Amino acid sequence: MNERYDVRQMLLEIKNDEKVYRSKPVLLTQKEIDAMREKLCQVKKEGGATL
Amino acid sequence: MTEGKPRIILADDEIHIRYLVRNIIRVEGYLVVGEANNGEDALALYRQQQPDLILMDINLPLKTGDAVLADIMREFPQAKVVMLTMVADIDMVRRCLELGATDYILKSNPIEEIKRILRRIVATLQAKESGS
Repeated sequence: MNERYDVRQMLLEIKNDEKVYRSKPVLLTQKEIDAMREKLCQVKKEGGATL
Repeated sequence: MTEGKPRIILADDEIHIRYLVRNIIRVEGYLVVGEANNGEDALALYRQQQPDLILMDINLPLKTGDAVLADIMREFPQAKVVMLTMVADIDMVRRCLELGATDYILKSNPIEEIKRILRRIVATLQAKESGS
């Protein structure tokens, strides 16, 4: 029973899965990219440096 | 520009993408003045031709598109560089826009959407040209 359900092992696997999940890249759509571009243009016009 | 037609360089290592984009550009009535299949050639071609616009992939051999973008913007601060790529990662989009990319187009867009974005970019170029 213990061999089949090693809680420590399960917790470790969950933790590792979470790491992989959290490190997944955030992918944007064209609409989101356009919005980001427009926001950057606005920031530049207003004298800011970055997004 | 040549008779109001923007002079464009294409930089992509995938021949079928260059073929597709070249046809879009020609059908729209713009001029392709050079093509490169790696980052180093893209930069050399840009220096040589100094086009109105360069459409460039990011995952290029020898030198990545974002590195070429950085070099072009350093040497030609008024350059119009448009990234045309499959890379939709937020960090890369932000990096390219902050480096000075004029626009960022995803290859996954339908062709009509790519044409629409290109028309918008060219209209801005032409407006600036006629205003100067």
